[in-house]
Amino acid sequence: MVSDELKRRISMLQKGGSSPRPSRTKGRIGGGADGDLAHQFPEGSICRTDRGDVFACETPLGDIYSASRRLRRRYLAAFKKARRAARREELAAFLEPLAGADPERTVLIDTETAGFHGRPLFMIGMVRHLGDELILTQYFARSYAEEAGLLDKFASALPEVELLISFNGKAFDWPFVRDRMVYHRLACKPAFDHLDLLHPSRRRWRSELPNCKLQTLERYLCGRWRSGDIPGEEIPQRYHDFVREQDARLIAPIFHHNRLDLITMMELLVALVSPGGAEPARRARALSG
Amino acid sequence: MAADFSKFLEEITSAPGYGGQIVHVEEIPAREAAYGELAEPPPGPIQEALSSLDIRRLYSHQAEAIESIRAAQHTAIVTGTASGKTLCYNLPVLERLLANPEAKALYLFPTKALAQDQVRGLRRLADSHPELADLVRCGTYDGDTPGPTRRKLRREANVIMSNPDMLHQGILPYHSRWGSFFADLDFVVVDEIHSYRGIFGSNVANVLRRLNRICRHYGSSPTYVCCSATIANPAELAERLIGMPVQLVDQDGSPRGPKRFVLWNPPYIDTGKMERRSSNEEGHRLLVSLLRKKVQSIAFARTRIVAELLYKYTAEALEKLNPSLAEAVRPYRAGYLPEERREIERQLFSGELLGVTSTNALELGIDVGSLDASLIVGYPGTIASTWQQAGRAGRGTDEALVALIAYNDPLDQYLMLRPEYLFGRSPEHAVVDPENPYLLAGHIRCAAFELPLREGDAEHFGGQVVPILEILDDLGQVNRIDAAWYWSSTDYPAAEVALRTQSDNTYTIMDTSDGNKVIGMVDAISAPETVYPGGVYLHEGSTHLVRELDLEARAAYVERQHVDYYTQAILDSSIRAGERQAEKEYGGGQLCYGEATVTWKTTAFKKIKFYTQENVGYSRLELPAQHLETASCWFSPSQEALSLVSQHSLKPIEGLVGIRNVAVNMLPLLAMCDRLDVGGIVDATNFGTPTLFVYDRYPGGLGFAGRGYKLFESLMEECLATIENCACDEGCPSCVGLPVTQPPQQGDPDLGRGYPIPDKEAALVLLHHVLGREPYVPRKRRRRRRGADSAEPQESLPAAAEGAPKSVSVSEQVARRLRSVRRPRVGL
Repeated sequence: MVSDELKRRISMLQKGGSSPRPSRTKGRIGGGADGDLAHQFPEGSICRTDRGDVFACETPLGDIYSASRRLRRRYLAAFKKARRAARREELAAFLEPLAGADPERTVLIDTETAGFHGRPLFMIGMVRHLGDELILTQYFARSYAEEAGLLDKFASALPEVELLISFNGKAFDWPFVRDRMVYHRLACKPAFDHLDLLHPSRRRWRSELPNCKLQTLERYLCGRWRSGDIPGEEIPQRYHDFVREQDARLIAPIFHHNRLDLITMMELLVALVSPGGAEPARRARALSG
Repeated sequence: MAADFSKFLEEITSAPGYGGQIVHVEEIPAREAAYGELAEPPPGPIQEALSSLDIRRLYSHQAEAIESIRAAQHTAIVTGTASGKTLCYNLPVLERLLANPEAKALYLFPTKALAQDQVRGLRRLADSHPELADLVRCGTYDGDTPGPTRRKLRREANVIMSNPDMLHQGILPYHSRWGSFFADLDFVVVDEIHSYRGIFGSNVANVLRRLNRICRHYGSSPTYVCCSATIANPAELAERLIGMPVQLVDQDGSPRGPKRFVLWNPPYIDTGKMERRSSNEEGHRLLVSLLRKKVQSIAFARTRIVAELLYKYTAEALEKLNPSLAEAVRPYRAGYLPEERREIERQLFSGELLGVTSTNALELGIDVGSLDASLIVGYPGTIASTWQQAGRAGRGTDEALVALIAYNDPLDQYLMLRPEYLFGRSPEHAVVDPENPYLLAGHIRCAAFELPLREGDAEHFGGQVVPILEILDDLGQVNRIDAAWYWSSTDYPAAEVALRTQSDNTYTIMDTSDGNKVIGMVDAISAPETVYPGGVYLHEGSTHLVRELDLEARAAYVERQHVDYYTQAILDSSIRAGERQAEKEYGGGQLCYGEATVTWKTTAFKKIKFYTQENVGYSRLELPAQHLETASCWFSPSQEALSLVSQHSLKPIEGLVGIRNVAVNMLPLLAMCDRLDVGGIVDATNFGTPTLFVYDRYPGGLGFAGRGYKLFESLMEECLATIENCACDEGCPSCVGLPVTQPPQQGDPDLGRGYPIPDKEAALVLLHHVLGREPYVPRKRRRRRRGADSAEPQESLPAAAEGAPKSVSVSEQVARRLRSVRRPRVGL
């Protein structure tokens, strides 16, 4: 339906008049003076690609997450556990890709999009173990025009990847990335294993938890509740607002949201390879107590 | 079975009680086949497939079309029904697939049923040779296709059969899923393009522009093949639709048996020559006589109800006369289950069924073989449709019979009087206006969603792209970044554009006494004069009181209630001419085309008792005025013409009103629109002289009035012929309109409040002058009637007035009026 306002404006156009256009000032990236993590726009740099620029922020996880050393230990241990379990033929089939994986060539990814199919993708967050630390990288398209650069940058990182870990990435993130690459006519020839944590999580906790959404798992398994996080369904509109206003305060919560998702995915991986670990029922009691 | 139709018709005309129904018989001679050769014969597998289907040679138009398509020229093919149009595109597509198995083709049909039929057709051809059978992977991709099949088709199919609606909502917005399909797309077939006109056509033209943009994005530039039934401007229509020049192929080389085409006008049943016998009744009687002679026949009806009625009457009559035949007739229409329809098609093909009554659902290319006779009950609205329906009859060299049975309305009656319009060169110009800014804005939104728009996209969408994008930017729907506009809203624009209707411009009529069941739709323009509070809305013969008209929600709430009156809206309407885009002197007067704003308001309504037509009440209404900014053509006759009318003591404005009433009925003949796509107003306040306005009843205009401007002389000639040849004395529904009260009609200021009433004699004086004919001398007026419409309720009723034609009973007049109130109120 063409809105009434649109009709009115077109009818003015028809009459040969032009209505005054509201003036709009675009803010600048920066802003966000308060110290709340969720309101800070991360430090980063502009990467140039063949397909245009993209904003990238790359940081050791330790710089932004206080418990990262412990998480790193447990995360690396998960690979070893998986290898051991595989030798004893005790590893669940869907975790098998983990057994042969090199943590340096394993990437966890989480994407943020402006909606479902046909909408732009504007952020890809990745975590990878490099040297002796976990490195968080977030590529961010500051406008729709940077999506091609974002995907190009992401695609250039893929050849080094042997294992991709995601949550619901088989149904959502990866097809979405692939579709957007087709959209931008970027070559995409993946040669990696894909471990989607959603399915093993479902198998493991479906009977015990109300649902297996990432944030539900986070609450029960990590005992962590998010406060002030942006609800997923508000993200598309928020991004459109950001592109228009270029006010960093609008988008900072999405960077934060994306990081939390990635951290939770690592914890989820750890919990999945620990046979008895992270009993949700016990955790839940602990939380309510 | 070959039947002797000349003997059959003789029997009819010599039967006692024959009422002179057969007003014209056109004997269309047989035509020999003309064959053509391809410069290079098709590859072996195709030749073998063709010969196994008993196709030994190509008709000349097939060869011509195939060569044109081989040369990658966009091609428009215009040949008759059953002339083998499908092969014109299937053959080059198969050739390409043999040469490049990665090639893709997209076929678009106006209906799902046609797409399914075409899948069967292509399969039949491909399966005739093992190599082709493996090569062709085709299927229908439409709203009925289940998810897994869709994925499979996207991945594997090389020929996709779909419809414009699906392309618009289900394919283009998701183009990245179709990336490799679009990258390899070599052919786009758009069949039955004559059905893409008016709103639908203007929308389809925009969808195809979006398709072209997507193809370019993926690096392909497919060859278009457009097929059309016979219209006056097939190449122009195809070019407007696809936005590129086409090569026209219109020399039909297929053979044709002889055809006897009868124009059948039901006889008058009154001496005043106003009322004719029911066309449905004439139709079923004729059908029964044909079936009793074992002539395989189809009867086409305009509506589902009539198709069912024809079936019921025919089956009941056969039950009495030839019980063994009653089972051999079936009705066919949309709304039947696909399996039932397939079965009927198969039974027709095999000859198991002797007769079928159908809506136009069987008019488009579905292959049911050929029958012996086709009865067209009521002019289907366009000459192109008439010939499609007529084309259902005729097999081999046997003679076929076609009868067009007229309704008693202006266009049908006009055709009965002017057979040359049917049998001569088609006068019908299909009109589309892809640049209507309101439609365009909807598609610009869809296009921005699909791919960012740039200034260069004016190449696809025209010069209004940038101004519209700037508005959308202000509204926050797109966002300009560098040189491109990106969709920047969470809305899904394709869901908000429907191709076949003024989607956002209809009111729903809901019955509160039946759980708010939707019982009808009415277009926004007609709503305030059809469903005003306190009014009576007639639906399937019962009266409903209108409780509320919700302008915000675009809904009318009605309640079934038995009342013994109907209501008639009193409208206050006016038109203001805007900027002129073209003008010229015509017939001594001034003819213009330009913008116009129509304003109307229902100010009151009258309650009129059924049967007696007694005026039993009057209520004022406070409804907001409606405005329509549109395109109009207008004509102000010269002072000389006006004074000529006055010299005969007639009123020029009443003559002009009469012409207006005919003109709005005749324009559809030239511009292939629906009667309700155009409106007319006679006004003297714009230029201080009586002026006839004919405008598009669509915001921004759709090109119908523009066609009226270009073909104004033909329009006036048709008006004159209609009025001159009408047998009535003082105006009737078939010409200038009754000189009495009329159903409420948008833009009829005269019909409500003692305004001028149409005057046949004054109209003739004007038309003769304008067309440069001999001056017309009006007949002596026996009396001057005034309509029941004038302000005083006690004014005598026309039928009761002295000297009124006695044989038209009041109830018949009311019934007729009610029919016209109820008939064409639905959307576009």
